[in-house]
Amino acid sequence: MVTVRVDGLRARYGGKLALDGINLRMGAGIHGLLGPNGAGKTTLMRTLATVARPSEGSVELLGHDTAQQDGRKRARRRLGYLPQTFGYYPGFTVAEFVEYMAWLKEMPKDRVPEAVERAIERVGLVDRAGSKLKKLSGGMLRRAGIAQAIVNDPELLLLDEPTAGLDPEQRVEFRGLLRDIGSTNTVVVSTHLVEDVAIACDEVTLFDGGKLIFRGTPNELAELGTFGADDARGGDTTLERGYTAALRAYRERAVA
Amino acid sequence: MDWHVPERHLDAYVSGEIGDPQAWSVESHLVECAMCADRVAQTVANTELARRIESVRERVLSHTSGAAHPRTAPESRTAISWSRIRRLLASAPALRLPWLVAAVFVVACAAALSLLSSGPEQAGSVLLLNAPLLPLAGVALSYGPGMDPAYELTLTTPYSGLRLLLLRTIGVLAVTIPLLLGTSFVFPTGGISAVAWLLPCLALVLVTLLLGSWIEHRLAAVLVGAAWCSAVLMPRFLLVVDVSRVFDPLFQLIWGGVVVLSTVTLIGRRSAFDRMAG
Repeated sequence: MVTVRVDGLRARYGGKLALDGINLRMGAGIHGLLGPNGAGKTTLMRTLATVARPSEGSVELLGHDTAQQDGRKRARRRLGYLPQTFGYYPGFTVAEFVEYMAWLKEMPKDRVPEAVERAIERVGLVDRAGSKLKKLSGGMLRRAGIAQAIVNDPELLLLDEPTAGLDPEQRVEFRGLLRDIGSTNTVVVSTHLVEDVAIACDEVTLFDGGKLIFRGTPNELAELGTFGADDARGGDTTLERGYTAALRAYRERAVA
Repeated sequence: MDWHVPERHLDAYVSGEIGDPQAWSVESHLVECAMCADRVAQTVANTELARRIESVRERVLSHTSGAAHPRTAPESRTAISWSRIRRLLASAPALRLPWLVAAVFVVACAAALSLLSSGPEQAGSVLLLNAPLLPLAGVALSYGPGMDPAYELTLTTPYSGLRLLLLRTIGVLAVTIPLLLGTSFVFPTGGISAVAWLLPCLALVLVTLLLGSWIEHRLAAVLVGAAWCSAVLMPRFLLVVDVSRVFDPLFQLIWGGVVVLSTVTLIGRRSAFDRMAG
């Protein structure tokens, strides 16, 4: 089932065209968004999260047209989002913040306490549930951010650079959580780490300069790199070589 | 579903006298059938197990909110809950302690100024003319990008942006207005009513909220504050013009009109508050 339907999307960020004619379909599973800085990943995430307004084109989430206020409201109830810069209230505890977000997501009141506990438990922060957010380390904050995103069991989960600040062990646990959620729901993860995509994602979408330049499985991306295996500039793993090969091929085509 | 757990199996299951294979088939049915799950819950409620289950349940729930919840809380999404409102307000920077301290300091300065000014007629208007700016500053600090750290996150929720904004505005006004009102009753106001600044203040705040549906909330507050300064404060203090007429009955009528008009327009513009401005 298609949960994300993007057609002819153009969006601006700071007056500049950040997304130029994106067409995209996504269903259940884990989708990785890859690309160099400034490729438009974050603008796409913010558009999918219904924060940013598209200048052109349509975005349909979970069957609701986000151009309509009512459609946005319905989609937002079933949405989870972790922004790249996770803003929080330093004086709130982890549990208070996650509970606050559950309220804003209009969850039924009697389900909130259980949902909060479950979300905090899933990100492994139970022993810090009563700690103030300002007392947490970077990795813990990131996990608190993920907890608020998943508290309403979202059918569409959008995570912008979720692994930043996580240590290797936490990354492994986090990927387990992603697979758990991604087995029935749509998870979109934006990252600049090629290895994240290789291990966790079912599908990779590559962006450059606001355009979609590659879409396929991690294996298909790696295949692109097999031709330049002797060329060390391309990267150390097949996936990295595939990534740079795809970018180079696109840029050469763009110049020609 | 045309098959349900027979009564005697149900009783045997609850009392633990059922055999393993039958217990499994009852359990796999319970996962899918809400009706039989309810029947089990009701049967359990009549046994001595009920108290233990309830106590486990309460202990689990008390971990999350520190309070025990009744077994079946009525679903009420729009009901007013004080703890909720407190949390929604506490997230506003303007309602935190440091800001309150600063506000008290500003009021104290204005009061001191009004005492030091030459003559009681001059003194009074100083305080009253400055009064609308304090709530406006509080409103500016309580919402929008750069002011509310979780602004982007709250936009992605179904909770209405305008509702949150109004709730926080009321919070700011509930703190600043009594503060200023108290001050203006205590200190000399030079023959002008101590409540004369209320309507202009409300008008400035509402115009700010309305303007915030097109431009950034903070910028809107700065513009409105600047407009008040250049129209009222600058003529008063630089050109020494008597501007206390803005508190006259005729002007009060105009302020009242601005309040009504901007409230109506604001409600019409509510959908603008659930996405980023611009």
